[in-house]
Amino acid sequence: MGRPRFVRSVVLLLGILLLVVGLHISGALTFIEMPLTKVFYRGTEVLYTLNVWDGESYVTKRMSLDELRSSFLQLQATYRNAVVDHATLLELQDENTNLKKQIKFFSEKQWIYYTGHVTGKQIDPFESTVLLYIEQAYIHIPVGSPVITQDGIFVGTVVAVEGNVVNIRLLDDGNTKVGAALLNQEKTVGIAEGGFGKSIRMNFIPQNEKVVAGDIVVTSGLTQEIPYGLPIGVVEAIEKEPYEPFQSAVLSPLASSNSLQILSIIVANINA
Amino acid sequence: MKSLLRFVYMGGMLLLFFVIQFSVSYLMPFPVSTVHVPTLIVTLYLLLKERRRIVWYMFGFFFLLELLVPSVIYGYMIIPGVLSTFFAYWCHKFFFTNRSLYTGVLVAGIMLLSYRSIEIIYSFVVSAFMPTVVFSISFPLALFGIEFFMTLGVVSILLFLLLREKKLF
Repeated sequence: MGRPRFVRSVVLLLGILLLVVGLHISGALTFIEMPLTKVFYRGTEVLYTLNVWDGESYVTKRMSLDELRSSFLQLQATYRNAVVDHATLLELQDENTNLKKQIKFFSEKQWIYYTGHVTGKQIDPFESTVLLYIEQAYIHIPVGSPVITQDGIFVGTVVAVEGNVVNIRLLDDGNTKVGAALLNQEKTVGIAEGGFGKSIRMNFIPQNEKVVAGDIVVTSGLTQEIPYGLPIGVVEAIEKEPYEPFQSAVLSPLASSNSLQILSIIVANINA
Repeated sequence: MKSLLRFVYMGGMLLLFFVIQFSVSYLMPFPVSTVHVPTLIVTLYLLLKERRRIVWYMFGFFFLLELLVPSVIYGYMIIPGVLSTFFAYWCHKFFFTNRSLYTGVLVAGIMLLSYRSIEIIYSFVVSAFMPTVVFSISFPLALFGIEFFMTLGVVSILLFLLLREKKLF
């Protein structure tokens, strides 16, 4: 009951834990870990897909009559707004030109990529990550690879591969730092950083560069493994102080982290 | 036969812990999803059963969690998880000794604080040996506050109901 017993127990526990860590790193536990992961992943995938967000509302498998009615009314309102928005589309021709450039970019590139369903997310609220189950991921997926949606939007990078499970750190995670560039005339570069709720911040933009709301932000290609031109988001606001050497921009991401279902990991460029 | 039954019982308990953990994390809306489920389980188990085997349950639980939701560093969950469970057990067994709502909340608070502290220490130690791992000192205190109060709140409610049911409160 005394202090020596406490210390002895802690040391013993720590020894066992470090042994487990050591065995894991050396790969000695693979024979237990692989089948366990395979079995348990079926269950967690079911739980995860029960609660995948679609925009701002849940996609649930069962809906009551009232929920169906309110969803229908909501859809009608959305449709009306869409008709009004259609008229304003003509004013967005400039942005459209930029987007066309991106589409051209993607059609010209030939990527080697792996696609998978999102099967879970990190349970720790301090991290914004999703998990993909890809067979033999540990052989094919290198850490640092960029991850895109089916539309080619950059959503994050691979930070860990454990057996068949790929851990992807999303753009809105506090530890994310990715080289970004604006699709303006100067091709302004900066660093896109997460940790600001749903929005992303582009920092270290030189003070003399002209940044306007609506500018499209893509990956700059200056971060290792991440190629140039993967779309990230759109500039929403600019924060500029005359006494500071850099300005920063608040970005609205093109892909919402709550709606990710199918993701592709770019592992190599055939043309490169 | 007895050991087989014990093994099945242990497996069942682990499965139950998993269902609770993933249901809270994946199905519950924010801020309920921030509830630290291992703390919840350990506190309730200690207050109701008072058995040391919870440390080994948590060992199995965190071992599987490390496989299913891998972190950048292996051991980021299992080391703080098991050690903080042991601290919670020790505090409950040798310091607080009685079963009450207040000691339960205190045990939960100690477990959560020690979990997060050991997590930070572990990532600091690993970053010192592994150049690929960057130690970040930016710790979102607001989020920790939400997690702390949500966990303690849920623990209080559950303990109030369960201890009353067992006529211990």
